[in-house]
Amino acid sequence: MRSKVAKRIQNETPEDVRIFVRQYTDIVMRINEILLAKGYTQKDLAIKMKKKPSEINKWLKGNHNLTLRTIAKLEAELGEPVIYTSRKQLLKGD
Amino acid sequence: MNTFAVELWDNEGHKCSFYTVRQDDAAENETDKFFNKYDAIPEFKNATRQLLSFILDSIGDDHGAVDQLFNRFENEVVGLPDRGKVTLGGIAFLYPEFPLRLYALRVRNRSDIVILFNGGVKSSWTNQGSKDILMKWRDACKFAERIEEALRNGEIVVDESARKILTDTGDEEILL
Repeated sequence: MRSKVAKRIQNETPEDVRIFVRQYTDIVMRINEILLAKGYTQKDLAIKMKKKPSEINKWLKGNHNLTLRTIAKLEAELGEPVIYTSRKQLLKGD
Repeated sequence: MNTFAVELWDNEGHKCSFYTVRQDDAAENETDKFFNKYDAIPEFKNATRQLLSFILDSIGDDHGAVDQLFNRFENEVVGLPDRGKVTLGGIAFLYPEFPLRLYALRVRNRSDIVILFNGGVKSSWTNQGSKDILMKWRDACKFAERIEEALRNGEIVVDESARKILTDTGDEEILL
């Protein structure tokens, strides 16, 4: 069962909006998981990356677009993948 | 506070079911009122859609109402979307300047049952300073207090295996 209002708005929502929200939340959860597992704080991360904490903060703000380059830098410093991509080849249609 | 019903709003997600409240004699439940209202305002349409996706897709389907996504504590309720800070280091991340707030309560602090209320536009740092939101927030706190009380005294119970809230007699129709 889903509220009719929710269903209507969801049906009208462009697919890219839903993908963006889902991916962004996944990235937050993933970074959180890595920081917790490694016991890092924002300050630790800034020291490792030789940046000011405010700069890290700026990168990670939602209103500052999180670019693939930023994610790559984070992955390099955290030593763990933040996002995964599939290397499976797409099957050609008949 | 007048009598209100607690009714199912969405149970199609893999991780979390959502309930809402309906005021006595109201034509619409509180959460539908919120989404209908802000979806009809062009300025907030995109934010409304993002918030709905955050609730149904990210919480409902992908992660459940986990602490990291339920971290904007505002007295008895939590404001959605999340504060967007990771737990360690307080990194501002996801939605630091998101214009809308929808109030919610995790039932017994579980990640799989959430009650959604109404909300509004967050126009200042505090709820007291946000004209649009103040009454909705106060109402949400009152609903939440009454629901917590009903859980404490056994008027309503959680059916853990079915991810449901029921009355003490096992009825799905809940009036508080």
